[in-house]
Amino acid sequence: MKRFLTSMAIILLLGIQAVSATPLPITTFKLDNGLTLVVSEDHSSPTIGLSIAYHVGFRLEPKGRTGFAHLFEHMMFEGTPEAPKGSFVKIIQGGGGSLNGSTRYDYTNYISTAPVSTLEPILWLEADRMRHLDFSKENLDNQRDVVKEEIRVNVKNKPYGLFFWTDLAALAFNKWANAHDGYGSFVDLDKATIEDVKRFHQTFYAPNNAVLAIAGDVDPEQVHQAVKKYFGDIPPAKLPPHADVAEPLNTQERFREEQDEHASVPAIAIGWKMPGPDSPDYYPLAVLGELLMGGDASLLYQKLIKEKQTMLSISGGLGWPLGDPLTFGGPSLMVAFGLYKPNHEAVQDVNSIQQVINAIASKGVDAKRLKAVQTKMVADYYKSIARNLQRADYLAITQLLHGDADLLNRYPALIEKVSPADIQRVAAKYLTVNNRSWIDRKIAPHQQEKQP
Amino acid sequence: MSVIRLTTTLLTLILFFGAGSAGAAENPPSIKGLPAYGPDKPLVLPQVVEKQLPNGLTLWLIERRGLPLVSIHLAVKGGSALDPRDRFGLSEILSNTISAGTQKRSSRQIAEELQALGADIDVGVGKDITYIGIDGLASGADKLLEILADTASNASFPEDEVKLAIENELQNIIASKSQPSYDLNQVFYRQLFGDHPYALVNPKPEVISRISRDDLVKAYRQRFQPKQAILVMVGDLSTGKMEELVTKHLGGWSNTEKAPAGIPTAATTPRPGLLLVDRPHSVQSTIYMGRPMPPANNSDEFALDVANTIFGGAFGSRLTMNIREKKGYTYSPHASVTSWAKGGMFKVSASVRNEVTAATLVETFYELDRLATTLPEDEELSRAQRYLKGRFLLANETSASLASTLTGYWIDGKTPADLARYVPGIEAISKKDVQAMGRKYLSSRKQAVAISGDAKAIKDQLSLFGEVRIVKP
Repeated sequence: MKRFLTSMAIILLLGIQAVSATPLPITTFKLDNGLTLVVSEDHSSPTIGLSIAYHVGFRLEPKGRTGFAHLFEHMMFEGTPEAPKGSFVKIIQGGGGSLNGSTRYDYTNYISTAPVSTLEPILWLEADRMRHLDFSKENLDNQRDVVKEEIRVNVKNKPYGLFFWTDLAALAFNKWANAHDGYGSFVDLDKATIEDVKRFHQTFYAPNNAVLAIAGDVDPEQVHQAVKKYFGDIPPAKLPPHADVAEPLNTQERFREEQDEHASVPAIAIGWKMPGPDSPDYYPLAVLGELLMGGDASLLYQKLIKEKQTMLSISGGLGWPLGDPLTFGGPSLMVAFGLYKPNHEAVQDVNSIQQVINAIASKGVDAKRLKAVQTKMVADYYKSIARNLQRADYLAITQLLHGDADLLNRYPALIEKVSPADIQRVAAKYLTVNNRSWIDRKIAPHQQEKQP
Repeated sequence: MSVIRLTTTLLTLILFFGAGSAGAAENPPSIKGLPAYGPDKPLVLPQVVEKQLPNGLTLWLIERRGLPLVSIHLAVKGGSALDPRDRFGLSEILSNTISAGTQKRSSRQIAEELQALGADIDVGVGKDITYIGIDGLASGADKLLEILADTASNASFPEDEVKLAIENELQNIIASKSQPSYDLNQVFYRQLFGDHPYALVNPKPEVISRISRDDLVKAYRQRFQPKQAILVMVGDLSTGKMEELVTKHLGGWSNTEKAPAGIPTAATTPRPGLLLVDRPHSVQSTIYMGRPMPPANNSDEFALDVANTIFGGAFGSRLTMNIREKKGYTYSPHASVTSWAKGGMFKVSASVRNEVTAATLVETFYELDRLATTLPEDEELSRAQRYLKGRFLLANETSASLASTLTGYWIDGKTPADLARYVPGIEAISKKDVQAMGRKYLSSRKQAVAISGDAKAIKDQLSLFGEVRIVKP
C-alpha cells in the first residue's frame, strides 16, 4: 500500500495529467464541383461557427502587387450583383452573428458565428460571393482607402508597426513569396485595377480551391444537402500550380538596425527559419517555441525578465504573430519579440537568449519541464476550440492545407509524443546563430528627447 | 460568526428568441433567393448553484460538460477607483504582484505549477473590481483551487518582486505613451469625470515610484476578504465536487478588517468641449467623442444597447456604413456604452487621416442627431435586437466567458437571474425607445470631443466647430 502511494505521488509530482477528451466528430463531404465540406456537430449551444478558407494567401499574390490578396479580401465584403454592398454584414449581424475575414501566408479565410437560425442565409451569401462580385471601380477605390487606413493604424502610426512580422520576414527569407510585405506598399496598392480583381476571383475563388467547415448545432447530412443546394452549381476553375516556396536554412547571421518613429522603448525581434509542416521536426519545434516563450514559466521569460531584468517583455513562437503551428502550409519563422530596457545594448539580450538555446542544444531539457509545457499546449488547444468559431476555422484550414481535418484529433498526441531528445535535436539544428536574423529597433532621436 | 446561509437557485428557464417574429419579412426584400432566418431554437440557460460559505464568500457554481476544462474566477469589490489619490496606480502594481509569491511559493513556482496543470492565471483590475482568474484542466481542479486560495489569502509581496514590478511599470508607461490613444484617453476621461476617481486612467511615473510594499499589503488586506468576494466556477465537474473543493481550500479564509469605504456615484451631466492633444508627426487623427452615463443596472440599459447598436456599435451600423463604407475615412470606427458600478460612459472612437478630421466630426454629429430626431427603420431595429441577442448567446459560449460575465454581474449588483432578463429586455425595446435614448443622451451637443493629432495639420479645420482647446494630459 505504501509503495502504491509513493508511485502515485511520483506521478502527481511529474505533473502527468490525464489530458484526454472525446474526439471531435468530423464528417467530410466532397461536392462534384470540388468543394470540400467539413462538419463537426455539437449540440451544447444553439449556435454555429463557420469558416470558408480559400487556398490563396500572400505567397501567391502576383509580383508588383504586394498586398493584393488582402485588398481582395476586403472586396469580398463589398457586395455582389445579387446582394448589394452592406447586405452581407447586415444579414449576418441582423441574424445575431458576427463575421470577419483575414489573409495569411497560405490561405484567406472568411469566418462567421451566429445562432443556428442564421446558418442558411450565411450559406447563401457565401455561395453568392464565391460565384461573383460587384466588380466596380468605386468599390475598389473605397476599399483601397480603407486598407490604407488599416495600414496607417497598424503600421505607420503605431510604435513597432509590426516590424517583427514584415521587416523580419523580409530580412530572413530569400524567395519573394516568403519575404515580401503582405500588407503591401501604397505604390502597389495604387496600381491594382478592377481587372486584377476579376482575374484573382476567377483564378482562386472557385469551389475546388476552397474548404467550408461548420461546427455547432447542426446535423451533418442536413448541412450537406443545404450546401449542395447553394454551392452545387458553381463551376470549378483550372487552378494554377503552387510554386515551390521551400527555402534552405540560412548559413550566415543577418542583422538590421531600424529607427522607430513612434516608440519610446527600444525592441528586438529575432527570427529563425523553420521548415514547413511536413517536416518531422515541425511539432518538436512548436513545443520548443512554447518551452522558450510560452508564458511566465517559460525559459526566456524567467531568464530575461525575472533573472537578468534587462527586458520588459518577450513573446513569440513558431509562426507568431500571424498564426500558430496549425495554420502554415509552408516555411515560417520562430520569432522572439520583446522590448528591452534602454540602459544597455540589444546584442546582450540576443546573446542571453542564444545562451538559453545553446544550453538546450547541448544538455537537453528536463523531462518534467517538457511534460508541463506539453500539458499546457494541449490545454490551450482545448480552450481555443471551446468556441465553435475557432473549431470551424481549424477544421477548414487543416483540411485545406493538409487534406486532413482529422489532424485536429491527432494534434494533442503529436504534441505529447515529442521527446527530450527531439527538443535537443531541433534546437541544435534550427535555432543556431547562422540561421538567425534579427532587428534592433531603436527609438528615433525626436522620441529620445522626450525621455524623462 | 454568521449563520450558514445556503441558497440554491436553479435557473431552469427556457427562453425562445423572438419566437414568431423571425421570417422572410425581416430580410431586405431586394435580395432574390436569399433564404429567411430559420426558426429560433430554445436557449437553455446555465443552471447556477448559488451558495455562501460561513465566512461570507459567495459561490456561483455551474457544471458544464464537454471539453475537460474548468474556469475559476475569484473577484473582490474595489479596483483602481479605490486607489488613494496620491497613490493612483497602486491597483496596477497590486495586480502585477499578487501572483508573484506567497508564504509557500515563489513566483516561479506558481507559474510552473500552473503550467503543469495546463492553466493560465490572470490577475486583473478594473475600476471597481480586482480579480484572479484561473483556467485549466478540470482534472487539476483541486490543485488549481489550492493555488488560487494561496494567492488570494497568502500573497507575500517579496521586496525584489515589488521592485521589479515598479521598474517594469515605469518602462511600460514610457512605452504606452507612444500610442496615439494614451494621452488622449487621459484627457477624455478627465473631461468626462472631472474630480471623480473614474477620471484617472494613466498612472504617473513619480507616483508609481513612490508605491511601497506596505501600500500593497494594506490594499491587499482590505480588498481580499471573503465577505466582499465572489468565486465563480464553471466547468467539467459536478457542482457538489466544486463546493467540496472550494470549502476545503477557502473555507478557512477569514475576514480581518473593515471593508474599505466605497466611492460616490459619478455625475451624468454632459461635459461638452473640443480638446486637442498635439502629437506632431502624426499621420492620423484619433478622435474620441462621448459623455458620462448612468451606472450599471439602470433602467435604460437595454434601450441604450439597442440605440448604440443602430448608431455605431456594430459593423453594419449607421456610423460604419457612413464613414467607413461610404466615405472610406477610417478603418475601424466604433461606439460603445460602458457601465461600471458607480458610473458609465458613451464613447465613439475613430482614427482618420488628417485631411478628413473635420469631415468625420460632421458625419458623426449628423448620425448622432439623426438618431435623436427620427425613428429608426423597422429593419434597423429588428437587426439590432437580433444582433444583441445573438451576441449574448455567443458571449457565453465557453466556460471562461460565462465565468467572467457572471463575475461582472456580481460586481455590478446583478444576480444570476439577470441572465434570463437580457433577451426579453432587448425584445421589449421599441422604435420610440430608441429615439428617446437619442434625445436623452446621444445628441451631438451633449458630447465632448477630444482629438489626438498633429495640431499644425488639423487645428484650422477644427476651428469651424468653436474654440479648440489645446491640452496636455
